[in-house]
Amino acid sequence: MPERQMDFAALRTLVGFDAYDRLLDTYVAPLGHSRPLTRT
Amino acid sequence: MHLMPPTARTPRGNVPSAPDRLRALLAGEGCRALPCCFDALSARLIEQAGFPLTFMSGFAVSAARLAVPDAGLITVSEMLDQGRAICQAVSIPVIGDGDTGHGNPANVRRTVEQFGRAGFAGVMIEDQVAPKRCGHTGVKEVVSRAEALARIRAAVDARDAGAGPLILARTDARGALGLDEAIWRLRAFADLGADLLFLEAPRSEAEMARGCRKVPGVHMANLLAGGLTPILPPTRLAELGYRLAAYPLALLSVAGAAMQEALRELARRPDARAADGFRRPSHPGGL
Repeated sequence: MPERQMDFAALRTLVGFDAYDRLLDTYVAPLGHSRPLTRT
Repeated sequence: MHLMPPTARTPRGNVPSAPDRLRALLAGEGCRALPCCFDALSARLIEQAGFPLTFMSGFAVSAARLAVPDAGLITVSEMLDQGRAICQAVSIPVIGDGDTGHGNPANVRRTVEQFGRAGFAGVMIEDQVAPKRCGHTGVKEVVSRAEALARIRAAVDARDAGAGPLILARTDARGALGLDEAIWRLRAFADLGADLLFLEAPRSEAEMARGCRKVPGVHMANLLAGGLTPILPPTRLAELGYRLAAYPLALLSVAGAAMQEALRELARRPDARAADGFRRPSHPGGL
């Protein structure tokens, strides 16, 4: 195999695995803060 | 001028189907290297290099086509679109990444049918919870035994109903629930009629050996540099019982590094070495 390769960690970062996890984390709310469904 | 090499043109007469060609390859001895493709050009290069089959990697297609992580963000339609282009570009059998099957057993059946129509020789179906994650990253969840078995049964039924592609049954239970559960699932997949078996992310050579020994069948190893599974040479893999050795990101990793290097060079000396390559093409062509 050629010596120059992107390693797995660099490839993961490039396509945004960490950003994906952070994005999902922003939608995790503590249970006590969940808003009840209301009829309008 | 031919747009495609002779071997890639539409088969006529008694040319064996893609699944039949894959079946014939699997009947041979030893462990075959399976470089993974991500587009038509990479598949063509794999064929040109003499490899008798390839695998369309979901990680690599997600990265190359959309620059997004392999986390279920790419749609089955996008995967099929990429797969059609790949299958039309080569004559070697291509195995596709069918992910979780994209829903319930009815969705799994349709996914297998669609992969067959796209020209795939085989399709992989796995037992992760949707949206799935790359098998070598982070925490994973798998569906229940019942749901996992229903997926593979639906895939096998679609194959037997004429959809065509051989079924590569994958379990990610090693990471989520442990090796014993993963082996139980693989055995059940084999009993249901799966053609190929894939224990994702075993942590050691001993685990790889145990997976192959405990479940008779055609096993595929997934060799990802920087991943969780030891990288072993094909001769050792064959001794352990593997018949296929997939290299999911080898081409993408090398291509990415080569592009970075070319771009650095072009940014540094746009009028010298990089531009020189454009001035002396081996086959004159335009943009």
